[in-house]
Amino acid sequence: MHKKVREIMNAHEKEHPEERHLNDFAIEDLMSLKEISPAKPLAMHVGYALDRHHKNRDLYGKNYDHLLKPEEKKEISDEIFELSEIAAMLHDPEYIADTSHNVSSENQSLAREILEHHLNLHGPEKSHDHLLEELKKPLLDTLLDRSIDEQNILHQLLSPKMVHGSKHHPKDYSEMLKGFLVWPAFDGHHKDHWKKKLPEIFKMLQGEKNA
Amino acid sequence: MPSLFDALEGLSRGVSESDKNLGLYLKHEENEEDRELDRAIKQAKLAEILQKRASLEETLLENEKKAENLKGLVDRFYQLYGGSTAGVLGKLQEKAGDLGIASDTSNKRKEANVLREELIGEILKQKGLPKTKQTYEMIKKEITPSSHAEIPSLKKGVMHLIGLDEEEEDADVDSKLSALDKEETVSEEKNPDIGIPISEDNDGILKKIGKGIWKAHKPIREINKSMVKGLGNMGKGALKLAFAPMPDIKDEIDVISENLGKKYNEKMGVKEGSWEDVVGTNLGEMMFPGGGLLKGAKWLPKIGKAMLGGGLFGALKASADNKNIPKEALTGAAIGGVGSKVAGKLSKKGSKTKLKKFEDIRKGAHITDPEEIMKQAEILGEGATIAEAVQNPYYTEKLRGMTSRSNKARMKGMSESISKAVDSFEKDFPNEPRKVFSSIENNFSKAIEDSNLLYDTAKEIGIGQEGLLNPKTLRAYAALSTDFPGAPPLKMRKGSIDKINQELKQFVSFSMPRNAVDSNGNLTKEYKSWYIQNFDELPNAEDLLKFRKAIKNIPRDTPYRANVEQLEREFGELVEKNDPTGKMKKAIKNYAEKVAPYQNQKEFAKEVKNLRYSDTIDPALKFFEKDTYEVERIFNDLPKEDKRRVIAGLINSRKSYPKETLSRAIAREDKRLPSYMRNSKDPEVKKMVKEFESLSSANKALTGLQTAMKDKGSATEVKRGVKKLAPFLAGYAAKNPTAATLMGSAYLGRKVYEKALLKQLNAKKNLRYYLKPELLEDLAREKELRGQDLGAYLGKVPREKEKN
Repeated sequence: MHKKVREIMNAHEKEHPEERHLNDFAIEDLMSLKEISPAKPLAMHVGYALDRHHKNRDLYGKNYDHLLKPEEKKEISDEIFELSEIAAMLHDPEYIADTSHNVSSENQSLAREILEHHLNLHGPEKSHDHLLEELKKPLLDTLLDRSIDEQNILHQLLSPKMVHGSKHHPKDYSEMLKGFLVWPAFDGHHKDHWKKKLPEIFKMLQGEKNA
Repeated sequence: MPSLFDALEGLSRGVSESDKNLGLYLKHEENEEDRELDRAIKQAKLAEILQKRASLEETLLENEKKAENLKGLVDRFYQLYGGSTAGVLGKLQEKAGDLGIASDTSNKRKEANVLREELIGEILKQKGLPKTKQTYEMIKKEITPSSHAEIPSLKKGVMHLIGLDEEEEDADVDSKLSALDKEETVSEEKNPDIGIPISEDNDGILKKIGKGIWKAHKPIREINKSMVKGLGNMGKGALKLAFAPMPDIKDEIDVISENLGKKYNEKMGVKEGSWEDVVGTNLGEMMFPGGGLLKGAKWLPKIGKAMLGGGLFGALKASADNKNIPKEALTGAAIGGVGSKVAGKLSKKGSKTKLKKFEDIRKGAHITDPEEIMKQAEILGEGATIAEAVQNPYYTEKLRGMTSRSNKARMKGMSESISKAVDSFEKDFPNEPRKVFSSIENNFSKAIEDSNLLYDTAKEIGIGQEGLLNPKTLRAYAALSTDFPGAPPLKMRKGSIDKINQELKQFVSFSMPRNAVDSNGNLTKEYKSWYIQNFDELPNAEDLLKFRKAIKNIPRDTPYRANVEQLEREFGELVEKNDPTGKMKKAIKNYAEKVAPYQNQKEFAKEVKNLRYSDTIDPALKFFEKDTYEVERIFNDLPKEDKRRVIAGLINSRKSYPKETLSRAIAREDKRLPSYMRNSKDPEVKKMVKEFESLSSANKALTGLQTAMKDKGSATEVKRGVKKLAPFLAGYAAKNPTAATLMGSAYLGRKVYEKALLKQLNAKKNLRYYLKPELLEDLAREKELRGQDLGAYLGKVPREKEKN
């Protein structure tokens, strides 16, 4: 996974050489972890967004590493992973159909089952409409409900710890974080990924079945 | 002198003149008659009109008088009720009055009741209702106030019923209002953002106009449009700020953010520098760090939510209907949604409603039965589950407001509760592993006896005859399992299929007795004995039944399908012929489950005998740490008390050093019991494991809490502690509901305890939570059709191995 992330970042850097330093920061944040996790880079990134600069990297890195206990980090990481995964599914349905992950989460497996169920039931032409109602909407509900839940560990634990020693209020941090978590779903809507990509995915699934 | 001719001429002229005059006169006369006629008609008409007018005026006067009387009647009726004692006491006084004990209230009620009769009569008449007892009672109930607070609304309602709306008093104002209202509607249709026309002339009636429009345009009222513009600008700010570090979409965001504010303003007709524009700009700036205005924007989530619901989902629906969706609309709606979620608050009203519902449920149900509460919450629900109710800001604020001292006291309470639970755990899970040995020994002896008796039993019930698979079939079976990759597993049991297949082949090739069939073609006793001794590895009748089921799911184009079907037929005939009562299946199953594990663990049985005289018990505990099918069987056969002894022994044996407390060991050992214990389907074992695990996580939470409380005792830490204690509380409640409730009330505060308990019930809301039950049922049914048990089993086998 480290390799995969590096590949993505290198490709990005090639296209945007002027942002190389940001890329370096992100890689550094990512590599500072023993186990790969989206939590720390994202947590720090939200801090940068609040500051509108990267000058307080030490502060956020320290807050994340020293103020959070290992089990808390794990819980945060799990939560961010789940929300990110749901957002990824909303952003692009290809993620749902993708079986190349080593481990398939419950949400992803279930989403894939629903995809196949509707494909079998309604065929490729009519499935799209059903999937919007019966898969996309529940996914969106899951994402929004969980990301706004004030009892969520991200808002209860991560936000107060990350802003410690900064000029920011945990609430501001929390709000910015929510924005980041919800953004991919919006982007997917905006770019009509579901409508554009579902036919290809249906073809692929039908091919798998026939094989 | 005039000549005759002159005279004649003059005469002729005169005649002609006179004729002419006569004509004129006659014409004049005719016109006069017409005029006269007209006048008469007009007069007649006028008289009729006047008469009608007089009659109308009379009716109007009568109506007015009647209306005045009715109004007076209504006024008086409610005045009398308002002046008398309300509620149950009022009713009692009224009844006392009927019995001769007069009071001010009873007198007023008496008069009011007479007026009520008149009112009911009038309402029945006005509405054309039948004069039945039922309608009478219905209207009586509707118009009679039960409290003083109801009087204004009831009075208004009665006035409306008898056609005396208060607004009708001022007809001029009303007509102006309706005209203005119409004008407003039209203008709003043309441009939905013009809003209320404000000028000095109509300033006096501004409030009424607002009131009228408020009623008339409910959906628009839901979303205050000027604030929508604000959200547009807010979205602009949010996008610029939040997504600037994402360069891959930066350009797109820039374009959107530049145009978004403009488009909103354009669509909503907002002029630059107008108050809407200023509000919008301020809102946009709220999104920037340090903008404290957001705290005051309590209306924001509601609007955002409405936008999200109406906009984004509406757009989705439109997309499903193949309608064109303006990108800007989608963008705005989505950003509104983000804005809503960013603000992330429930409106106060919503919270109160949900809270009320929760309270209602809680009062109606016993807290000791959380399942019942959840069920009721779902029924009552309308989107408000118990979990949502306890998560609403009311509780958060309540907890946040607690002082540090009370938090410390609460923490102390939790600590004491957990200590008590640990004591209780020590009693319930005694550390006396040696007592387990006698049970194990007994079970072993019994199993070995069973094994010796099995052949005789099998013979008695007939399976000693041809019921066992003959060598030929068994070989075919073994060959099938090894020669046809991808065939369904032949032996339905836990463990590695490869291993079983290997063993099966080995048995058939090497271990099977050579003299399996005697000269008469019957199975020999040796063969039967070998079969019974080894049928844990050999296919049995139960396997056969499952195998046949699995075959039905094999794709038709599989090359080995014909072989499999052939085998299925042979076995099916064999079983149906020899085991019509199912005794064979039962006997074999019994052996596989009850006897075979002991047969295979004879070494352990010997060890247990020696351990009785040994100083250490570790080997026995280590045996139960093994995560195998056979160990699970032996554990499950133990009596309940011994199961508890094994769990306690495992935990105590893992203490890092002798002085370590049990509670500490419990906290460390969370989720480290063998998986056959943790995943056991035995309800008793399940309960034990749950007790242990909940106590363990509570202990851990308390340790963290104590550390936090030493520093400052912040509400956040307490909340976290409570959250983590939830499993313990739920487990404790399951074990001892009364004590748990008392503990919850005494130490944690009832609401916090309820919250913790219910939070446990509300697991993470994953996708499954939001799916329609019908869809989940369909998915389950599909799975079932795909081959239920077999499908699940095959799913665990790596594909590569199957191919090999």
